Amino acid sequence: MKLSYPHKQTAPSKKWQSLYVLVAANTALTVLALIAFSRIFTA
Amino acid sequence: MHSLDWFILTAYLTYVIWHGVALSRGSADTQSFFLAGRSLPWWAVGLSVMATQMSAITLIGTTGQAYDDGLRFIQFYFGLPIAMIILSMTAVPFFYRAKVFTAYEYLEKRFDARTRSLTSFFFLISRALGVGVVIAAPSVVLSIVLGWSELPTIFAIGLSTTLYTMMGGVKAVAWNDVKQMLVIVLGLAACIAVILQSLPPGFHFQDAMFLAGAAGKLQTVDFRFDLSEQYTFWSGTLAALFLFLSYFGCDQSQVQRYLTARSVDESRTSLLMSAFLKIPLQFLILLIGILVFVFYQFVTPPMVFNPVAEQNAAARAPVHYQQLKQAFDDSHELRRQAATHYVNSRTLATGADGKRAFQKANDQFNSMRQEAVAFVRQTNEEPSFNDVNYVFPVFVLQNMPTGLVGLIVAAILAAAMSSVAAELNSLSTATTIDFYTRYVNPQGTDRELLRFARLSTFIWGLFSCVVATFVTNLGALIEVVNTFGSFFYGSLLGVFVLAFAVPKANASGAFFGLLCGMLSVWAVSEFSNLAFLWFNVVGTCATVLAGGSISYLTRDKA
Repeated sequence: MKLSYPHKQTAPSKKWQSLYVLVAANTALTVLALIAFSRIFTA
Repeated sequence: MHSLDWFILTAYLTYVIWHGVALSRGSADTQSFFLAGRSLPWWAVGLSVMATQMSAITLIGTTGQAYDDGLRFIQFYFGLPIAMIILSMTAVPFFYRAKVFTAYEYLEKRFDARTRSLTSFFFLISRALGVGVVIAAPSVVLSIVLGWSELPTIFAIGLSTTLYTMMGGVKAVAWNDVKQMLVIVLGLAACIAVILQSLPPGFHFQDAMFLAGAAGKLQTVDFRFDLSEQYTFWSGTLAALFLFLSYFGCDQSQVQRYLTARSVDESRTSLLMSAFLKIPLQFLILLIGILVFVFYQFVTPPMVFNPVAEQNAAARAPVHYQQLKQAFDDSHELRRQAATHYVNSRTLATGADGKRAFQKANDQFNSMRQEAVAFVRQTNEEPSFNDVNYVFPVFVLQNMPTGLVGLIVAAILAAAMSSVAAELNSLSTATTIDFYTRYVNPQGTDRELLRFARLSTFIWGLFSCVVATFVTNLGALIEVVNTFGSFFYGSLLGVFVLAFAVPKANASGAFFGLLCGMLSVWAVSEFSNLAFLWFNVVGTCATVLAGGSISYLTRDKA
């Protein structure tokens, strides 16, 4: 089977979009928490 | 080690091997052997993804790094969750729906056989050498710390893992990864509990953190945009993003993990699970290094953590050694007093003075330690001597209670074995699918392929053990392996970007683009002081630019 471009690619569903946003927000919060952790104990 | 520790370690290893071999009954065809019949739940795949990435080097090396350098290394993982989101949207559905066994098989469907073979060939070389390093690192450290012989340790780790991978295939690898992750997390949690219990009376977790903070160990984020600096916010977020996209999206040892999931959605969920847990887990590992640092404020640490190197130095220059040891112990005593005073006065008006006094004593202690390491480096005639990797194992052996030593040594071996197993399994898959089935025996029956897959697992296992024996003798080989990996990863990602995102990219563009990308990384490594994480960005961009241009120049005008 030879795949020719463009492959079928659909936009992620609402559920997946929400999950991706959740993971991105969680990462941002984790980084902020690390910065806060560092500031609290280094001050 | 105490006999109870030996019992725990032996029981754990026996169970892992037995369980792996028992799963061979469920791996009677290639679909089961390579992809577990696409039957695994997302949480098992997610844990397997994490276990594969976390080798014993992570466990031993990063705790030691935190002891020496603090939390800065955590920045390296900032790009990982973003990579997981991108891969969930792109690579996972592409690979899953293309019904491939290897990531490189996809490249033949998209481009041609030579692109597939070249990428698979580079994967085999870099990964096989990498497995040697993964086996060698804990073997060297454990043999020195525990007094084991190096060669039997290498073959015990390598061949026991080969045995269950060869028999049980990817199913054995994944289910053992789940157990190994459990042992690792249990071991880490036990370590934290014991260290906190071992601190002086009335001394709490927050006191430990204030002490570590005053010593500069809790600097987590560095926003300087310095391309020669290895760990900054930017290298961890941008450059490491390229590395993780390549590692999780184009490296067969990871792609094969999520191809075993029941559906595309379960594959995606497994990656997102890793995205959620990786930074906290890595923080936990680094925190242990920090807590070991705090522990050694109150207990005299070894002057140098590699006991064999220290004994050699003491034997070769006994007078200088004794003088250094005395000065080292004195500086530790001064620091201990300053640390105790700082913790007791932290909330009082004299807290700031106490902090300054502690920082001064800590700086003096660090100078003494650097002098001691330099002395050992010189007397052992080892210019690359570094004892960071010995900090955690020595701490465990000297200070953990009986029983827990066995558990933590088991956790270190579990971390090594989970990575080695997944990598051997992927090496066997790439050899069987991309070379044996493609060129040697295209009409092979399932039985023949399975037999070859098991044989190639065994050969790669043996080869990795042999590489590991050389790595222990030739320190520079580790550097060669890492450098080769960084040459390859960015360029490999570039080929997949061409495949997924550049509609007009053709086979010549992909093939020669990959070679141009690797050449560019070599040039950058030779003629600039760019930190190695950025090589991945250079490799990807050079491959996409060169590949795109070549595709345009060689386009089919008809």
